[in-house]
Amino acid sequence: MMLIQVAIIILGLVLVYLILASRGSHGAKASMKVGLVLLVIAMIITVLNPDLMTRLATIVGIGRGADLLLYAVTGAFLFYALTQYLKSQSQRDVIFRLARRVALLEAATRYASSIESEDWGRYATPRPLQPGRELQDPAAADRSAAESGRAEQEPGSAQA
Amino acid sequence: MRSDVAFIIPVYNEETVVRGVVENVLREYEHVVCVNDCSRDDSAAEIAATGAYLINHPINMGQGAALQTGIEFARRIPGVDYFVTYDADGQHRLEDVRTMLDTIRESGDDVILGSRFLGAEAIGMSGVKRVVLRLATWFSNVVSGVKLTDTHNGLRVFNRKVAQEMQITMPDMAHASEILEIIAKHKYRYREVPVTIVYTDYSRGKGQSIVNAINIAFDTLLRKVSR
Repeated sequence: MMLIQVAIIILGLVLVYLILASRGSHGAKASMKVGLVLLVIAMIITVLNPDLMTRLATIVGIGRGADLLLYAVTGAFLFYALTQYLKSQSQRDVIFRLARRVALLEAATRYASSIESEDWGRYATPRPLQPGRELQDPAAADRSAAESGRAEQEPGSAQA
Repeated sequence: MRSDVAFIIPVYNEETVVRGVVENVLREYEHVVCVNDCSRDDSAAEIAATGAYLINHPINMGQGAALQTGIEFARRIPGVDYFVTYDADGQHRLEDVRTMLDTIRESGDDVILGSRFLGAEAIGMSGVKRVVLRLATWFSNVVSGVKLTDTHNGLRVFNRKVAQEMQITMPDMAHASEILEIIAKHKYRYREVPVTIVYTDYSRGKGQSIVNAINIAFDTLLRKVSR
């Protein structure tokens, strides 16, 4: 057995241990763990059978196994970058909604006499602040608030 | 003195001009809502010296976010029927606002949008900016489905129905396209009115760089895809 094979197998086993030991919370994490473990298994298989990637590459019409790997890594990276971009945008959305609520609450205390005070009740009601696209749809946010039993009559719908 | 109109003015680092602009508006209109988007200069103190409402963002969030904050505050001012979005740098003219307010009352439309390319001329606009704005308009017309001659004009007048339903999520300059998408989605009745934008050296220095148009286009398309 070559030195690189030993090194990669040990690295793979350490990775599997770290992935399984990490205290990820819920279902979304679980599917990611399964995917990462499968990736490590594939890594060990290919390092033990160096010809495997090349055979796979010729099947799909690429010359060398290394090229196939390069294409796969490039694709994975682009996917990762886009997912992270969208994720950071949805997190920014949550932060901005929080900041807006802070600004409006602070302004409401200063201008309490000149604005309609009863409407500010909706800001005192804790509405779920979760990352995700459903936040951009106020109707969906109201629905989830209703499910958690904390919803109040919306000023907009009351007047409509 | 009209009290049925609320001006919404997003402010970011405009200490030298904002006071004059706000005082000018306050001479004719009672309600001016200034959203200070965490300016690093003395804009907040300048606004506080006037009779306008001052709302301070705790962090810098961009013009679209500031507009949304201002709208959410303004729709709680009793007796306000019409909402005006107005720039802090003095590039808009109050006579245009007057025309737009007359138009929205007489026509019964939901939204009146200012247009630089509809008859009236833009004072001091550079040739490159003209081309970029035309391209932006074409792009926006294709993407949003609302046909306009000028899609990135900060001067807008809308009624209470629109203000109640407005939900701008794009924090930066891409909000201009998003507002048009909101108009299309809710099937608001809209109309363009020719307005004159005064391009001074100050507003040109503060204005949008042309490179930023690419950012806006990218964000707008990505939002379409990820929705």
